[in-house]
Amino acid sequence: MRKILLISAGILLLAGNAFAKDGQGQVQYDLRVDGMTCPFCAATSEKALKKVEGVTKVSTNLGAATISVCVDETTDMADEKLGKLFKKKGFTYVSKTKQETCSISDKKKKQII
Amino acid sequence: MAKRNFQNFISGAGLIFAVVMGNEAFAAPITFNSALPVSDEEIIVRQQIIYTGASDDILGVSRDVDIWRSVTAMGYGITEKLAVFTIVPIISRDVTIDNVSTSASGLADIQTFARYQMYQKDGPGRTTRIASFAGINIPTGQTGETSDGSTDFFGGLILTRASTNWNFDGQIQYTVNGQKNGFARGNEAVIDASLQYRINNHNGNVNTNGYLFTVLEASLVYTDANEITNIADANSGGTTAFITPGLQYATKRWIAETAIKIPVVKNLNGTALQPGVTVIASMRFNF
Repeated sequence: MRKILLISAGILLLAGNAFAKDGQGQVQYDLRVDGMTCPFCAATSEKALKKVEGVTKVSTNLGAATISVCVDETTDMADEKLGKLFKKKGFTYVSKTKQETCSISDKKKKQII
Repeated sequence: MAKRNFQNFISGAGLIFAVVMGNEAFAAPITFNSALPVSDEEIIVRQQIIYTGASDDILGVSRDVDIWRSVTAMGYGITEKLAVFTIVPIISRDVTIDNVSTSASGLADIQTFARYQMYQKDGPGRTTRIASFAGINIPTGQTGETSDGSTDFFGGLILTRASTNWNFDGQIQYTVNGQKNGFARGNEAVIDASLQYRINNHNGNVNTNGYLFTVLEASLVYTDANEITNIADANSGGTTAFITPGLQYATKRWIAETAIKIPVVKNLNGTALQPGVTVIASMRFNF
């Protein structure tokens, strides 16, 4: 019985740890990027963001001119860095807002509104 | 005669260049260029299949021209403002004059040009850009068959005003044509305009299938007379105008489009073969 309890506790700890890796330690930034008008613009920007270390998910909303990015908490998302990144892609980075949890869907097809 | 008619035909509208230059990978004009960016270190490829047919009957002599073109265009963003393009056309053409047919096929003239963005103003879901371009037409085709053999230079300006629902593009272009074996095609001035209007997903619904645009384009072309050993050919040059309705479907990685270019003003001089209808189908890819 004691063994079973210990094994169960171990499994719960492992599962909890896995959950923490998936959901916790991740934050979301909603980036306001001007000048994007088409699906190709979204693809180009998303591709550039995915190359940033610590970025795990990206989703673009063209109608709202925002790109949402899930990143590890420690990822450098300084305005200057983002400004340079989007300038190289031909667009204008404006601002960002931070969410404490990542809410981007895991769907493979990113939503473009 | 066949050779001269072919030269007259392609000189009428700078048709090849005008049609293949639209090589952006955005909702963009089908028959000319756009000022929207090719992002830094991005590669864009466009493959077009183009058919043009023209025919007339002058002084009891019937003339028919059929041209098929496979055009591969590649663009590379050197910086966010500067992009370079190369266009490789392969042509197959048949000319029939009074039931006597000739044909030729193969590589035509490769074009390469650079485009520099001079002005950019962005807003949420919209942008305005102005770009200049300049390039060269390299006589890689077989002279008298798929090329007139001359080295030509061209340049111009493009204005693009784009949003998520519609785009407008305008372009002015001037081409200085060179001379080869005593023949010089007339220089050419072209004004183009394009309106693309998105017809799906207007209510902001989630869209995972891309944007569908209707496209309407217009172009006005003025061509100087050709010169043969420095003497103007009275049966060449003049003014033509076209309208081009089309459809364009744009996703994140590819764009499919089709259009038909219809001559609405056919005012070429003398017995020059007037332009015919051009049908265009193409795909663009963003790597």
